[in-house]
Amino acid sequence: MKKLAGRGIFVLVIFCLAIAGESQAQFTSGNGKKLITPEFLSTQINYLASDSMKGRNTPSPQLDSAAAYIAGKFREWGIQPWNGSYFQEFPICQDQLGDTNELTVIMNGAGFQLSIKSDYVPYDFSSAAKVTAPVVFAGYGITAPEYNYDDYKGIDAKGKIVVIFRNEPQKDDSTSVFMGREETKYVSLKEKMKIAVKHGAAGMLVVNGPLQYSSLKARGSPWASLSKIIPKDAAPLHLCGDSDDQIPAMHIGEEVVKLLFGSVDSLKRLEERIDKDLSLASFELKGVKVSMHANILSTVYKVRNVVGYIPGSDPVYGKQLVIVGAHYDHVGFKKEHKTGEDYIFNGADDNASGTSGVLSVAYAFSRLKEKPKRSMMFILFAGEEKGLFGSRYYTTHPLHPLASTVAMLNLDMISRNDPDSLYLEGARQSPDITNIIRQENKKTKFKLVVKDSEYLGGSDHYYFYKHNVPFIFFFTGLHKDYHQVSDNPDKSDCGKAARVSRLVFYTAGKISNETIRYSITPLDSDAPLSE
Amino acid sequence: MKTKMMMLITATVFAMINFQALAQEKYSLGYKMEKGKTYRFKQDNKIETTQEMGGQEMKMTTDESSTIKYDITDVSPAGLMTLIYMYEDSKLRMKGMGRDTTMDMQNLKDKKTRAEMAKSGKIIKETPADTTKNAKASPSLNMFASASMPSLPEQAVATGEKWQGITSDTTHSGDGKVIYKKNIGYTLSGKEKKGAHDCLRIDFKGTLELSGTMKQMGMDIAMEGSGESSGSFWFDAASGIMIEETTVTAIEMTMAITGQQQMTIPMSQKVSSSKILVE
Repeated sequence: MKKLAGRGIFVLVIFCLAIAGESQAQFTSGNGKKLITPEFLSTQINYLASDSMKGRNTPSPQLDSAAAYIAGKFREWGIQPWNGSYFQEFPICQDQLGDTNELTVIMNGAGFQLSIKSDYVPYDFSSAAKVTAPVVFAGYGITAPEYNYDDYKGIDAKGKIVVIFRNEPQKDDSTSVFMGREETKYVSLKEKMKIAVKHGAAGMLVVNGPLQYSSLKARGSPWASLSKIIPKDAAPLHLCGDSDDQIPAMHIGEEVVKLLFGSVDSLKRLEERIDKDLSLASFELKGVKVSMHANILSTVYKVRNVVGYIPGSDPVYGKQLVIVGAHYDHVGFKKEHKTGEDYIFNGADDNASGTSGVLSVAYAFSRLKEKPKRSMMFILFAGEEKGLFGSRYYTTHPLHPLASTVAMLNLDMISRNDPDSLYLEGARQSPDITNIIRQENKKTKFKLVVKDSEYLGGSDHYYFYKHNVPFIFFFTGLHKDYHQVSDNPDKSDCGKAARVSRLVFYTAGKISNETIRYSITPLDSDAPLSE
Repeated sequence: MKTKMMMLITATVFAMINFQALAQEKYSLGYKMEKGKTYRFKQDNKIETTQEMGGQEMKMTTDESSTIKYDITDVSPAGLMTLIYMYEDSKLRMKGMGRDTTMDMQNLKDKKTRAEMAKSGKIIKETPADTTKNAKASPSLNMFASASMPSLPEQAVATGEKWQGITSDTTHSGDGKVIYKKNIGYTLSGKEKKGAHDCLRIDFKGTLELSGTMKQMGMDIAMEGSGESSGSFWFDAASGIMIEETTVTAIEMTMAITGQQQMTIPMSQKVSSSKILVE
């Protein structure tokens, strides 16, 4: 018995050493399985995708509740806030047209007041401002050194209102430097506004070229107050102050053209002149001033990214950051519905699953005795469904410098389809991290499917990629419940979500304990995928 | 002097009356499709769509090619035709916004719609003729997926004479409906041969408006738009059938989306279409 007892003690000591060894080794498959379980994922998904969360729309009280829940979990597990707060608050705006818009053409002291809707319509990317200034015609409003083309050459647009054509010259000419039927970036009115601002313009009036457009009708942006059918809440949300290059901008119609240019034919001749051989036709309209007021009223909503932080243990590499993120918002609920009808877009897979995955990885890191060398940040983004607002805001207002952010692992929709398959987006752009995932996948044994940039702009990794942060997007594929009220928790495969989360945990563990930096292929220069 | 003036007026009026009499060959126009017969039309649409979002224009070209079959099941003594029309095939090619996709529109194929058509081409009634989805299920094709033919005048017309055709076509889609209203002015331009058919060429030009709402994927979609349409069609008056029609339609519309997404999307569409009798 004594011998047996001694043997038993020996076994017990070995066992304890093994356990201790496991918690020191940290990122073993046993550790992952113990900390990141289907039950853990199920609990989180069930809560976040419950009917009480009403689909976690951005903005909504339920989104705020979800944020508070996530922050509460971070607090409970001892995960630190960033600079005293678990929240990164940011404003989103919804714009409506006010009542005091104005467009007046002043010629030789006489003012001709134009009518909104029939003669002019402000654009939704216009600044809300009033300006009175002389007028210059600046062709297509393009300065394109790469095409040796500059509509602003020979004119002084500083402090003036520019009148420009929509689109770009030689639109249907396949031999044109403007690539003919292929569009260049200069087609974008926002790009034209940037160029106008660079030249010091105070306002921008946009007109349809009579050669390119059959109608010279002013359309601008669709405003609820100018329409019989557009409801007020159709106005798109956007990040407030998302552009520094803003001046008042309006789309003008035929009456304004006649006042400024004498006739539509005169404008047509200018267009012909440019389109013929890219001759410049820009000039100042002598004795003409325009007074324009784009009265755009913004309603501001505050929403929050949720942030948890684990400082790195290494004094040098602790200044580098690994981000594991997911969006926690979804698309809300149907306003009109019949009694008894399922009307809530619960978003269990999209993206209670990814949010729960991040929570599980955060929890697993929080349980480790020895913290990784590099710092870890867990971010749950708001506003993804409305236009990647949370991640866009974070990357323009990073809490930690992006230059020392070594990787971003994004989890979005990780609980559906074939239990063994997992899509990786970003393998081509971030090959080093992909190789780490392949190595770590020996523990999770997924069939990895590399997508050919199919979802590159489809989730929060996009803005990190835009800022050259190496990234990988973990995704288990689309399904028939995608953005349907039927994306319910009972359809989520929590076993699969836990397995994906474990792979993220192992990958993040490996990255956070390395000292090397990872390669990233910058946007616009992607090579074809080989896998 | 007075007598001379009277004679001159009388002569002028007489000449005018005679000229009118000589010039005016009046045609009584009406669709006369025969009971038991099948007519097939080849329809091609090229749709150039420009969408605008946040100052960024996005273009898409859609080429649609279909064969539409009309089975005439009954003709009343008053000339009211009952027909069943269906798409025998329909292919779409959509190009733009980084995509180049070809689709065989199986959801349209063989879906039958029963229609009652007056001699003037006006559709009196349209109902699904089978238990499966209506042929007008695809909203993008709704504008074209109709049995309607160009309007013919109630009264006899001569070359140079005009008439007006006002139609309203309602399509039901995604728990809502979209109403297309057309107000088209027609002119009988003269005689022209089209293949083996002695035809009358009729030119037309007019306006169209659309408005409506739809519900799809939890989104409430409202749309409104207006535009112009012009073209010609060739009508075989003897057999009472349209031989060919070519139309160019430019329409500007706005879609407003609420619900799980909030968006307003201004769109411009230029549609060049042709419809040719093949059998």
